[in-house]
Amino acid sequence: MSINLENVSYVYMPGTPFERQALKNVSLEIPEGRITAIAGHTGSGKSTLIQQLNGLLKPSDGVVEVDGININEDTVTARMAKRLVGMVFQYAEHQLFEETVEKDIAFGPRNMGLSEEEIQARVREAMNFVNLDYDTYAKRSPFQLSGGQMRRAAIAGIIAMKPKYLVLDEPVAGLDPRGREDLLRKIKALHDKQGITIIFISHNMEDIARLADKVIIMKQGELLLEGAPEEVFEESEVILSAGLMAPKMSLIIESLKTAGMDIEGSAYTIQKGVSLIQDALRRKEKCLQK
Amino acid sequence: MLRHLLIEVERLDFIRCENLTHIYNQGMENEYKALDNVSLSIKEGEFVTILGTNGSGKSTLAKHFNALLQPASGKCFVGGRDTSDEKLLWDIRQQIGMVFQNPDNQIIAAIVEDDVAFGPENIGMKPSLIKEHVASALAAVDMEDYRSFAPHLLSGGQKQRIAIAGAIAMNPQCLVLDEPTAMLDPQGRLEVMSTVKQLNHDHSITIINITHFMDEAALADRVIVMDKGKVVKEGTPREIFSDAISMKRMGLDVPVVAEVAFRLKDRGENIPEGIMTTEELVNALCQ
Ligand SMILES: Nc1ncnc2c1ncn2[C@@H]1O[C@H](COP(=O)(O)OP(=O)(O)OP(=O)(O)O)[C@@H](O)[C@H]1O
Ligand SMILES: Nc1ncnc2c1ncn2[C@@H]1O[C@H](COP(=O)(O)OP(=O)(O)OP(=O)(O)O)[C@@H](O)[C@H]1O
Ligand SMILES: [Mg+2]
Ligand SMILES: [Mg+2]
Repeated sequence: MSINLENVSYVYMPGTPFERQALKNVSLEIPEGRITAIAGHTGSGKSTLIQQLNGLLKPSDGVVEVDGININEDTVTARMAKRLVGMVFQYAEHQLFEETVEKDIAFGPRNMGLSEEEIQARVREAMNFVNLDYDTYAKRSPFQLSGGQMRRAAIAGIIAMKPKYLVLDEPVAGLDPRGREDLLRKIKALHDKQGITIIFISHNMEDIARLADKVIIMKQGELLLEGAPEEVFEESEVILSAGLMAPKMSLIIESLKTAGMDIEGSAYTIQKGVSLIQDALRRKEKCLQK
Repeated sequence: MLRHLLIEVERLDFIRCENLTHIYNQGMENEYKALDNVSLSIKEGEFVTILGTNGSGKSTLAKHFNALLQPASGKCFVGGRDTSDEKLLWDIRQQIGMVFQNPDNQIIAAIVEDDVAFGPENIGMKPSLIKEHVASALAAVDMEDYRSFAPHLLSGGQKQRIAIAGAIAMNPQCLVLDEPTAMLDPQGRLEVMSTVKQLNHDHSITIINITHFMDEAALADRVIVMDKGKVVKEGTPREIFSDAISMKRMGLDVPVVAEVAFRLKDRGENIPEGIMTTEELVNALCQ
């Protein structure tokens, strides 16, 4: 099973002065059970693309299928297929609306017809997932939270529905460093332990390399390239045209090599980089001892 | 040298908070103290970064700099003016270009150009000047092509750029930026920060930048760290980031280079204190 886009085009506000073609003939497959990342420059069509995945935006042309079902047909099966896809928006505020954080997170599960007991359990589990302490935040208004807290609440609302396909638009933007690390780790665990398919938009090459099996690069509404992160990031021109930048760690390693340090290989993550540097230091010591 | 010293002495506080406390929903059951006795000062022409975990009070503090919020107790002075004096609100807001955390809250007009012109118009800038400022602000954020577009129809990152343009176009004495680059790609982030740095350097505009990016924080003259509504640390980026352990304990982090130096040291390598730049790391490792 998978999500498939076939020649999908999307035009905003057709026939008005603000008409804009945001997607051009995009065809791609998002396989079940994988983690797929989407990257690309500001305005390249990433958010427009993911809003096709649950029918929030209907293609101007082309077909979107979830598990083989065309979600834009007016049928019960199409509506059910759409529900398999849970979406966290770029600006979390846009999806919060209830009086309290607890009610907001419970909204999805309640709509799914779950028992009160199960709803309660899911709300607590989801708040724990995003590190919002239940006793502190459950009864607060979602509109009286800090930016990062709102984002956490919005993510919790989708997590609580346990969607088969979880789509996140820049999920860690606005989170503090610990929150960022923690959320990425937990998203990975959702995939590894529960087999949930993850689709996320990110501007961070290190995060993409660490999490994703596949990365899709968008450019001016078109799919520029797709493949495994290691392959796609080989091409520095692609990185550049996607507005990305090589992780700082890999730049540091390059500088050390240029300065004559005997480092083997390259590194995206700090952990790997530090090991490479230590290995090089060991070799240097051995040489000096001889 | 002497001249330099004199200038240092003459630099005045542009912003000064004295025992500033902020309480949301004061007197109600759900009242919440978001700022707790904050005292700090920011000099004219200084570039300051404010760090802190989610909910530590950064945005609340920023809203006091623009007199959008009123102290429950204590004082906040902007350019010497008391933010709790209603007669001074206009004078205060005229001096501050503000970029809010969510750019949607800032969109006012139906066309990008008008939206960016709103700030300058509001402070009574001459129409001929406004045109010039709007054009150069849109150029500075690389959004000239969108000048006749509708701001609410822009992508997340584009909205953020427009909000920044609006603040710059006012030609303010001080820019208060609340996570202005959160939705930008790394190249865009670098461009925006270099524009900000230039405004600070060339025009001595005071900059207050709130961010969760530690590499970005390192660009400032000074870093202020908040935790649970209090200022818990202040210092140069080098001072703040050389204490990686306490930053991490708070849920924050240090720039990548500092982190690499910290981990190497932690594993027993002989690395000097306070490494902040790639160049310093290269020098330390490749002698
Ligand atoms: N509602 C809308 N009406 C008209 N044009 C729109 C609308 N929403 C987006 N656009 C335009 O479509 C293009 C793609 O926007 P989209 O939001 O998909 O970009 P994005 O890749 O998510 O960018 P970012 O990284 O800034 O979030 C942009 O040029 C944008 O201006
Ligand atoms: N309108 C409000 N009413 C009540 N409490 C609020 C309101 N706005 C913020 N708070 C609370 O005040 C505290 C500080 O919020 P603030 O927005 O200043 O945090 P912040 O440091 O900017 O966080 P972030 O990094 O998430 O943006 C938070 O615990 C938040 O829940
Ligand atoms: Mg987007
Ligand atoms: Mg904030």
